[in-house]
Amino acid sequence: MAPRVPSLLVAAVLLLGLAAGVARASNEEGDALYALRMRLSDPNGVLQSWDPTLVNPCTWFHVTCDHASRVVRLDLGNSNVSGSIGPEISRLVNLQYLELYRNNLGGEIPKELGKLKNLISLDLYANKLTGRIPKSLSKLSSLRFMRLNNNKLAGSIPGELAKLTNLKVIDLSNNDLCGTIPVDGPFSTFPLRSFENNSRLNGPELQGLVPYDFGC
Amino acid sequence: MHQSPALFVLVLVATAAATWSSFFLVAYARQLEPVHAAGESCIGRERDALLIFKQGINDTDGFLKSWQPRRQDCCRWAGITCSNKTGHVIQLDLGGTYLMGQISPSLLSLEQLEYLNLKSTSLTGHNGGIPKFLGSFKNLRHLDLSDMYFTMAPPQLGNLSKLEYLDLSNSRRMYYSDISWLTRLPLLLHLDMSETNLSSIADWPLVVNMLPSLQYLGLFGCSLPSANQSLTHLNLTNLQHLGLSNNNFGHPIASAWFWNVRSITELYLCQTSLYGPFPDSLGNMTSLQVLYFGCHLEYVYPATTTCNAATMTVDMRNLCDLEYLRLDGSLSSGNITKFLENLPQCPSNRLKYLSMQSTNMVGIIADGLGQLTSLTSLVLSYNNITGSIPLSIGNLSHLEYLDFSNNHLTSIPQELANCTSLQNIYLSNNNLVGPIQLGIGSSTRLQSLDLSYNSITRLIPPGIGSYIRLEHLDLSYNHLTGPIAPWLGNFTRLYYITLSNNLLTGNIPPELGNATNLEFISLSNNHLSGPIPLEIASCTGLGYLSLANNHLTGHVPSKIGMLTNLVELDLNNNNLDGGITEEHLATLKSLRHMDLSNNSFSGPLPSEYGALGLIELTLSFNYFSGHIPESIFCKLRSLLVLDLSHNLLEGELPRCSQKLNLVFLHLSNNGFSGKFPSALQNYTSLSFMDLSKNNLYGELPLWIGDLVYLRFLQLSHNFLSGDIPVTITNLKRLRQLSLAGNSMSGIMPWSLSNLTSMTQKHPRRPGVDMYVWYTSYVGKFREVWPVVMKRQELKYGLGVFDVVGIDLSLNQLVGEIPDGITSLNGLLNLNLSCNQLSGEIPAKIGLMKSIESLDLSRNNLSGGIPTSLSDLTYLSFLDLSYNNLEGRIPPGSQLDTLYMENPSIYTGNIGLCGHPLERNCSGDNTLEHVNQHRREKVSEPVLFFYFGLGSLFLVGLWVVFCTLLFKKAWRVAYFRLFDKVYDNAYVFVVVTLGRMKGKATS
Repeated sequence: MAPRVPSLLVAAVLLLGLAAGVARASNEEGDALYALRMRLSDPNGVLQSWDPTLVNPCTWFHVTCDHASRVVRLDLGNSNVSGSIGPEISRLVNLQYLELYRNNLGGEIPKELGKLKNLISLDLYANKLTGRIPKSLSKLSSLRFMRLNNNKLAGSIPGELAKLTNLKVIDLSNNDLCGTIPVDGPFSTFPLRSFENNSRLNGPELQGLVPYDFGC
Repeated sequence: MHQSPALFVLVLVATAAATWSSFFLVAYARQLEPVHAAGESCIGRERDALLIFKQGINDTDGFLKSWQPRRQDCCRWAGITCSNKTGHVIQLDLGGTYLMGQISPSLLSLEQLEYLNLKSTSLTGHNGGIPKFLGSFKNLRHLDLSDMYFTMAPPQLGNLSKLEYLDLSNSRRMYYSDISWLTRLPLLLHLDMSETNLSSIADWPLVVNMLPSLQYLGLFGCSLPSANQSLTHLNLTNLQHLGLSNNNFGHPIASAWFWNVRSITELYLCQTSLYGPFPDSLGNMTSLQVLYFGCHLEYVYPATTTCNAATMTVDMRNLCDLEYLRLDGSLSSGNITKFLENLPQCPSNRLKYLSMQSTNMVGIIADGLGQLTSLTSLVLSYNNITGSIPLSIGNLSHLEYLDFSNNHLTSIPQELANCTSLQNIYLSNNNLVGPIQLGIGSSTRLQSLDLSYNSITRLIPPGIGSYIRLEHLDLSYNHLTGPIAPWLGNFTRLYYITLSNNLLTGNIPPELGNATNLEFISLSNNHLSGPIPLEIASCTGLGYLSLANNHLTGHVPSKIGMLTNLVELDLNNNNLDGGITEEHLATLKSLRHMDLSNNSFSGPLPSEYGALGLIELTLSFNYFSGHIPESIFCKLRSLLVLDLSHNLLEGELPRCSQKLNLVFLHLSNNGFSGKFPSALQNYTSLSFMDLSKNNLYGELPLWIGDLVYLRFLQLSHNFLSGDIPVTITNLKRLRQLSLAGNSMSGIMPWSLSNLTSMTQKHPRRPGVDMYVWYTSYVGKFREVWPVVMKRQELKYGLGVFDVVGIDLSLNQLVGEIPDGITSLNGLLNLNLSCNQLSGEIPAKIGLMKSIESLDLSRNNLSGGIPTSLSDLTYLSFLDLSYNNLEGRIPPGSQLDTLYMENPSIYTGNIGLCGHPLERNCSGDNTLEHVNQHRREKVSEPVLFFYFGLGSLFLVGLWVVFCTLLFKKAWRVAYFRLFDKVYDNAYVFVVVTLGRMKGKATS
């Protein structure tokens, strides 16, 4: 009988911890989204329902939670928002779909995005994003769609992205990328039009040669 | 509220001044008395003049009752004083009498008039201005025309050369284009023109500088353009009071003209938009007693608003007379350590009042604070002050009011206990940690203690006899653990206590009932257990009792009925059980809000309510059973919110004859039965109604369209049948409609586009007014309104005002989806799944820009998926499965992600093809054209060309072939030719090959 009490206690403590963890998680996500809201200028008022005093952000417009009240989708395509994406977005650890396309977002793609291990779709196309494509995106092992086209991204395409074995669709066209296109992994199947209109991009890298990033 | 001591002091000063002056007046009046006693009556001409003056006046209060022709001695009339020597009227005092009418020129007969007071009357001149003839009273010394309705002042007032006192203030309609006439009043001591319009007088300081006797200058709120004029020679050597607050100067404070006027004792510069550093010359104004530069932050929201934006690094150590220094919200930056070092350091320090709320101060409070021994009020709230409160604070033995709230202070010293005069301590929103000793020393005068929003873990009990006057105790939002200290009950004067949002455990101590003056108790959001103590009923003055969000068990003591003053009772979310009966409620006559939700109460709903003024009755999530008593519906006429959802209630809703004001009716998840309650026809104010998950049956009545205030209507999961009444589209305010899970049949109403509140044309946040109304009349809007969307039940609070949706799923609706539905571009949710709808998906579905959840699954929809579907960028849930849809699935990144998330959104539609499905659309599939109108149009000419080419070729071929077939001679010739060509070719090849072989061997 004696050993049962501590084990019960341990279980109780674990349960409490879990409950606290869940509660914190949902608030954490609300805070992260609210931090994003604070960065954005929102002339159409699409973020007006984002009330940080609510227990979780699941009733906010354009936010979708799963049944455990974890944020899995953020759908803000074509919303006329401007501003930048901050590092706090990485706190949305359960996010699967990040749809911020066709807006006026500027600034760089935060490298912290690489922490979104569950991300399936990263749609940032048709914005005014600058800077490089962060290497950290190669850690998004669940990623299927990566559409960063029609921005002002510069620098080379990180070769590490070839590690994204689940990637089905990539579109990096209409940027200011340079260097070569990786050929390994999923890149062996992507059509060239996914990379067109990057005036300084030199085509697929040659097998067996050091990738040439001249003028990059 | 925090500034009340300041106000109190001001009022005290004013009262003292008033008493003093009235004393003199009385003494003066007594001197006059003997002359009148001798029977000397006033001068007839002056009496007649006064009577003429009276004729033009409307005297509703009867102040001029004594002004009668038969009462000869006008010196005895109200408001009149005569000279004891000459018998002439020398004073006319009608101030504060609210007389209305015109000032008659007959007054000119009062040639010896020295004192004229018409303050706060509604007397006017001929054309709205001050009558010009007032300038003819050659002997006038005192003229008070304040708080009247004049629009202009004549320059003739400059003829009053003996004038010493002139008050023209508080005439908000008064506009001055010229005040140069003031310079002809050399004896003027007191000039007040506050709250009049001097915006066009750019050289006002030059004018007042020509009044060498001036002691008091009041120009508050005069729209003065600036104060940075340079005066070559300063005549104002007697000026003591300079009031310039509420003028928008907007220039550097150091450039103001008055800093060299050393005689100033009181300087008022609140809300003047002066900025930059204070000039060093301030340090030489050694007469200064009062400097008000701050603004009244209690009227400004948020409290952190900055009114002026100056900096103060002036050495004020020689300002030994300084008593009041107020800089609230008016410094752009500063260091509190240095600031305190610069404060007066004189042998007898007089600084009593220091207020620096929201002054952007950083740094720590140094020990020097202890030298300000005369301080009675010290306010440093809303700054970024760090560190701990210095030990020397114990020297401030006169300190009554201490407000250090909203800083980053880490500890309170024991020495605070030596401040034996302290009455109010505000330390909320700091970083105070660990245990706190209450009642340190002998704080016998303490009335208010606010330590909320800190990290205090424990209260150390006070010594006997301390805190006997404590009235207000706020320890909410801390980390208090363990049980509630029973000794709190010793504070018998306590009327307000909140320990909410802590980690308190154990029972509520019965000793709390000893504090019988308690009016407000909040212990919500803790881990308290055990029963509600009976003793709480001893606090018969209790108006507010919240024990919500704890683990309290047992019954609610029926003695609670003794709390006849209780206004709000919140026991939400505990484990309380038993019944709620007449005994509890019959005597609670003041009750306006009662929330007993989320407990285990059972038995019938209480039927006797003493509180006929009840506004909110929330009994949801319990085990109440039986019928709704008629009294709830018929007697509680003030009820605005009735939430009985999630209980075991049954039967029909009681019918009352009168109209009711109910706005929120939440009866979902019960067993209510019968037809759709006709009782509701009287509830014309209903705005939010949820009757879902009951057993209602029959048809939805046509009169539902009469409940025109409905915004939220959920009748889902009942047994309602028949057509959806067309009148439902009369509900112009409707934003949420759910009839899901019934047996509704017939077609969808074609006039759905009439539901204009579901469009974006509607003001963006129509809920705001409703929310404001709710929070002011009812209170906190709780998250109790469920909406099913994206296959989840989401609970909405305030957000429910904005959620727009139609859910008609799980019914037997037939016919087509009306095209008009696409005009409802505010819809977030459209669920028509599980019906028998046929026809096509409206082609313009792409217009429904707001839609996030679209479920059309399990119908008989046919045709293609409109390409415009991919325009819906907010779509985050889609289901089109199990229909007869056909053709190519429209492309689009948003739809890609939806398919990725749920690959079954298109299943059960045999005709669908193309990406992302594995079934390819056959190249020239006749079905394909359904969605490819655009592409067809573009390629039409090309296709035509190819078609023409092909058919010409065929025709040509057939012509040749048929000729050969039917004309023997041509056929023979053709084959001969063919043979001949063949032979020639054969010979040529063999010869050539032979030649090449020959060459190779040689």
